[in-house]
Amino acid sequence: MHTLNNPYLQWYSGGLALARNLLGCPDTAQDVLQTAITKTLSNKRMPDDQAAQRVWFFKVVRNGCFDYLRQQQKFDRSAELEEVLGAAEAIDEVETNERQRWVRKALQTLTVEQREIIVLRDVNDLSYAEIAQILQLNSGTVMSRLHRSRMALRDALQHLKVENGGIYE
Amino acid sequence: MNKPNPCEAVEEKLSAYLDDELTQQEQQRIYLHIQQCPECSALLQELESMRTDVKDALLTSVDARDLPTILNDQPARWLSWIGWSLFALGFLLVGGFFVWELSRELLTDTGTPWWLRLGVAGLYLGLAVLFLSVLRQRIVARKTDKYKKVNL
Repeated sequence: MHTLNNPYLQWYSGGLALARNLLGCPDTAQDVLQTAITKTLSNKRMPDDQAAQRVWFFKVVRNGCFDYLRQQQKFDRSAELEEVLGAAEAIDEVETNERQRWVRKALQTLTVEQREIIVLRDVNDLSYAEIAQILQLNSGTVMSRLHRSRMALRDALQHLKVENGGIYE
Repeated sequence: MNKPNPCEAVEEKLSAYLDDELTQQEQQRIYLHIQQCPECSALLQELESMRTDVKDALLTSVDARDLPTILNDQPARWLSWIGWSLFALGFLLVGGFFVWELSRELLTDTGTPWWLRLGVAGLYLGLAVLFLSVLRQRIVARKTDKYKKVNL
């Protein structure tokens, strides 16, 4: 195994953040990442340059998440995709920072589309062009969707602030 | 009084401005507007601090909650190994002393009738044998557990 010099490992935590946000379940997110890393080892035809590899990796992670969610739905047809995604997040106790908890809480009120684009840009520093490839959109759409998502996050944060008496500052 | 319109056009580009994704010309235009519009510049600052918050919130949480790294912590493993060895040593010493004293008492104490001494010995011996049988079952189950290496 070439795990130690596997270039894809540098995006592990970023990919994990994405998967966690899509799936809501840390353990499943780790499974998806595991599968993605395995694919980087077993696939014969890989992109050569780093930028393309990164795009490929995030595509694999994202598809892995949606595959998993689709599978889940087969077992539970009554649940809407949105419901499955929203309800699962169990934010746990190991929190260091109050402010970070607020952000995470606010993120959970957004839709999947909004969440994933924010994670791709803000956590993983992907360019608009790369995000466009991953989400299969054009760059203009990426620009406007990202902005709308950020405004939605801002609204959600302000909402939380009003509800809880302004601890977030 | 002509503020609302330019602001609206600028506002939707603020994210892209922040991310450095505009053409130079547009970047320049937004920059000039922000210099003279306190509202838009406040919004820009808010978006910027939110961006760092999101990054911190999602990335640090990944590291802090990555259990396997905690479990693979070397000093903690040594400590737990030392702890278990000390515990086993203490258990053997105290247990040995107890068994020794008890059997000496049962053999030499002629004050109590023989059947009572036999009963007490049977009681303790029975408990020990039961413990051993459960222990054996556990060990066998552990050795043949197919799912032992599955990480949940």
